[in-house]
Amino acid sequence: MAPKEIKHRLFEDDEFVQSHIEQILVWYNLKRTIRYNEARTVDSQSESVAEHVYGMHLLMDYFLPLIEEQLDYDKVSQLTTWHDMAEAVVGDMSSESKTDQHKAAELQAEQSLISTAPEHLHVIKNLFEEFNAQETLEAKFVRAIDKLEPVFHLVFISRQPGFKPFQWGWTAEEDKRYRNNHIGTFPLLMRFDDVLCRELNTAGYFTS
Amino acid sequence: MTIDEIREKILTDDEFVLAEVEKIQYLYGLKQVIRSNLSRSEDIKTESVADHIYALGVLAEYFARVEDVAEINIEKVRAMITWHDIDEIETGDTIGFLKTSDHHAAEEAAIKKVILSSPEVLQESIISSIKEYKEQETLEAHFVKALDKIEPIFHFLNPNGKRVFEVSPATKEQHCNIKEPYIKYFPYMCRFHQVTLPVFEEKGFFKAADH
Repeated sequence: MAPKEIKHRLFEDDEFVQSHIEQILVWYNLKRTIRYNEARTVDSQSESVAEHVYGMHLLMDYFLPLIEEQLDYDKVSQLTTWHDMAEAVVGDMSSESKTDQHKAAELQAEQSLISTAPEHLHVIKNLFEEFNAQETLEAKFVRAIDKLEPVFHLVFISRQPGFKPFQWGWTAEEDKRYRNNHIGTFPLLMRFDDVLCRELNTAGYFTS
Repeated sequence: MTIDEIREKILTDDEFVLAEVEKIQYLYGLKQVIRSNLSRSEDIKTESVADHIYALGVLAEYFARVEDVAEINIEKVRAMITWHDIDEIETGDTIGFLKTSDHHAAEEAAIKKVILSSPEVLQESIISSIKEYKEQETLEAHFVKALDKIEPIFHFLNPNGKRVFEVSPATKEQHCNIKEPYIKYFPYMCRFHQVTLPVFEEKGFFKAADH
């Protein structure tokens, strides 16, 4: 099937979207494949920021050939790799509990990272600035993927044996509204978000 | 410092290399930052294949700038990093020096299965990426393989890494033999191996060789 036909069916056929979601979720198993004969027996629902970045790379590779816009692959890939690096300093904070103070701390952490990173990597300054400014299509696409990836992840872990729902802190409507602000630029990503939400909303993450 | 000065320092100054290791390990911190207000309390901190792939992306940024690879197709490198371990969805991870011909055969079968399970729009590019990686004939394939082998140095050179070596022991020869055939094309990666090897030895990471 040609990409044009695939794209057409994705917009017309929910079951087709669902089949692609199932295929993408197969790749998510590498978040649960542990190296060096170790096993992750506790807190197996947890996800590192590095694992989230891996998930974003998968989605980036999947969506880039299908969206209307022609984006710079290299730029998108670099933004994906570096966009969350401030969290190495300040830790992760979920969107619903992030304050202006946290956002300021992240900006400060980015400055600290730029000064402490190996010198020839100081170009990450430009990447942080581009991502934060949200003016280029590449930055908007990475932000949209950043917001869509957790939906794939939450559906993925809700299917794991022994899954225990944890509270996301928002109602389903609040969560969707927040994501739409970022994903809305890319109709195909919205399609996947809409289909994923049917399962996500019944998994027990949201307050009523 | 210019890129040439950085290269010179890597090639001549052990302390500089060890300081660079620490800086890269700081960027590895995202393997340990847990999302969604959850936590991960582990006696020995584990690493998923996804964490490892993230780290390869960071190392690619670092070494593509210092190695003499001006003509490298970085887009191809990034895609190869994302997809090169996809067979492990089916097979799980096996430590490199413990792999047998049976493991390699299982990898081949697993690659076919995972690709068939993947969305059609990506199958061709995943096949092409993995084929190139397996054949090891292009600069990009050599580069990603070398990164794959050098990456554990940065992951292990800390107290948690020592604990992993205690559980899954390796000799100095195993540590070297799994890396050297692949990093030999890349002098700056070789330097990181050369400078860190005595540190691994001094800190007692390796088990004695079986004779």
